[in-house]
Amino acid sequence: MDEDRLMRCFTAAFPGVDPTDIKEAKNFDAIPGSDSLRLVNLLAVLDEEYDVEIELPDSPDFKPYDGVKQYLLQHGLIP
Amino acid sequence: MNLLNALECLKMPVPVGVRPLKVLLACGFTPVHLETFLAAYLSKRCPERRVEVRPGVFGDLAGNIRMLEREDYDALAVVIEWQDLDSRFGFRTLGGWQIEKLPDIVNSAERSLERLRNLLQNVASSVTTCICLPTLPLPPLFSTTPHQSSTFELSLRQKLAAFAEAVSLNRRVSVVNSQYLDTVSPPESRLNLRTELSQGIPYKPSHASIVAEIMSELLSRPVAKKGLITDLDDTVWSGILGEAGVNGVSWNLDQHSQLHGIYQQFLASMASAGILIGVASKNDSSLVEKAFERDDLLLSKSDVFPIAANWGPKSESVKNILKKWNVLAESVVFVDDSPTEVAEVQQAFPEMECIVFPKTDHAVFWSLLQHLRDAFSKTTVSEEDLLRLQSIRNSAAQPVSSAPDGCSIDGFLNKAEGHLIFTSAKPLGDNRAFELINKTNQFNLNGRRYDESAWSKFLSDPEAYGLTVSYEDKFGKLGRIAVLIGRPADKKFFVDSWVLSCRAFSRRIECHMLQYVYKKFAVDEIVFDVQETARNGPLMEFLRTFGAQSVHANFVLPKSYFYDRAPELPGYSIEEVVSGG
Repeated sequence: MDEDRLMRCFTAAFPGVDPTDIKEAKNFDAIPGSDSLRLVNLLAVLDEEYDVEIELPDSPDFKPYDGVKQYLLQHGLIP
Repeated sequence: MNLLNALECLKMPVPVGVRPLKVLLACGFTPVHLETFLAAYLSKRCPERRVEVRPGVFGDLAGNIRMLEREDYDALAVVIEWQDLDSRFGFRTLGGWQIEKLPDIVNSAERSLERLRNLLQNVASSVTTCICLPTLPLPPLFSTTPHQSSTFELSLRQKLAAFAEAVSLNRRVSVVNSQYLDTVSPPESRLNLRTELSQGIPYKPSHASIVAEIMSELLSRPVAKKGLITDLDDTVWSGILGEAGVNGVSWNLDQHSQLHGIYQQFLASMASAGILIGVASKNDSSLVEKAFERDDLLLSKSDVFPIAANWGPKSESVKNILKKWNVLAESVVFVDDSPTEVAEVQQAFPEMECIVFPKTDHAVFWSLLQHLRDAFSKTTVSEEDLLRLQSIRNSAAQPVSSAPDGCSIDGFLNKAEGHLIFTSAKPLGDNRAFELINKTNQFNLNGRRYDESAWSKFLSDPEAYGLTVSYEDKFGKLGRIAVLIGRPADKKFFVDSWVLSCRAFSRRIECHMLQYVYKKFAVDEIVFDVQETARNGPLMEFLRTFGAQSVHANFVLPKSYFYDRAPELPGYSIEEVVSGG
């Protein structure tokens, strides 16, 4: 699993945020500086990088980093 | 550049303490990716500036353009989409596509274009502006098959073309070339209907990247190159002149050498726009002379200067041509069919772009023409552009740096029948003055460049003063060749920028200019905001003749020093033009 590649997408969309904070965030709102613009950027970057249109669940319990990783694993987009 | 790269580019440290480059991005959709890409490309092109791209609000293109009236910006990027002309072209508004509504939709689009044209004429005249016409496919609202152009669609496109033509007449406005855009961004890969409906983002990131890249290039054009040096054999024509003879070389369809004819036509076109064309050829000079007498040659002898035809190294010929042109190697492109010659010149002039002429590869040849147009591009061709070649030819024929017939240089200059026109006016809207300030390297007080906004702002200061100088003598006209801008205060004159075209060196025009300033403002001292650059040796040398051990910022030249040490000023006739502004 190329964790660096996935984290690169997150840190590009959430500039200045520590990767640990991204990994540990319980939902998108918990990522420092999170707003709808950054979420749009994240989805577009993931689309470009993995050629996938991810539909994120509108749930306060969706852990962004782990959730996206699971999604990519389930769809065979990362080994 | 993909979105990940663009976002990472914007995370890089930005210069602090510098004036930001503020760009207003006006469009009617959510420009989130376009904004990111535009900021990233501009940051790459202007690493010394802190780039700020400000978008407007959703759905109000005209209102967003009007933001220029409320806040200062350095540049305006306008991205028009069909729904900005009539909301029924969009997918987020369901206004009806019935046949009977089509005439109204087209008429409504025409009215929108008219309003945009008026708006741009009013507000976009003060900043560099770039306009991108609609790039997304029109929705299928016409009754014709997608393979056929509907009369309504043709009418719509005609009105759009008329709008583009009208706004492009303003020299500060550039319009993105849709033909070029089609080659780099396939039309079928532009629209993202999903994000358009969910977020109002109609562009796929790949298309947003390309639109932003083109607009960033148009908003921050690099200085165009000045001259092209070309080989002759198997380049300007097909064949070796020394072997085939004057009538044996060709550039026509019959002998499968048409590429060379197209190249000649292209060089003649460049020469007609004031670009210097020189020849460096290993050849017999008398044969070359005869070849240029062929009346079917598309590149005439008058288009080319100088012609260096000899058996010496090409780099020597190139060196001599640069000297005659008095331009730097970095401003010149060298073209030759021989990779060996290209390598030899490239080694001698690492900063010069040296290109192998692709005499058998048509695709590469096509790319070469596109590349040369880009490198030598001009939005407008000034009178001075057209005078350039003739004045260089005249200078070479009558070199003023070495006096003929044993006369002194003073005697020579006095007999040149020089005529100077001093125009005292802030050169607002004077493209030539702006170009001189931004292109001149050698006689340049400090190498300071201005973008259009900074230039306008400086000259809008009521205290600011501008002087432009034109010159002609019995050998020909040079046109406007010098600009000085500054301000008088406390019996002194402070010079902020001062440039003199290299074509006007050695005529003591610079001394005439200083004398003019001393007299006009009755000042005792001129204070120069001088800064040594890698290229302004001639300017520094000139100032050092006035006794300074070291020339530094705020170098003061007292009037008495100037008159003690200045050489005798040639007795040129002087005309003074004072205009408002």
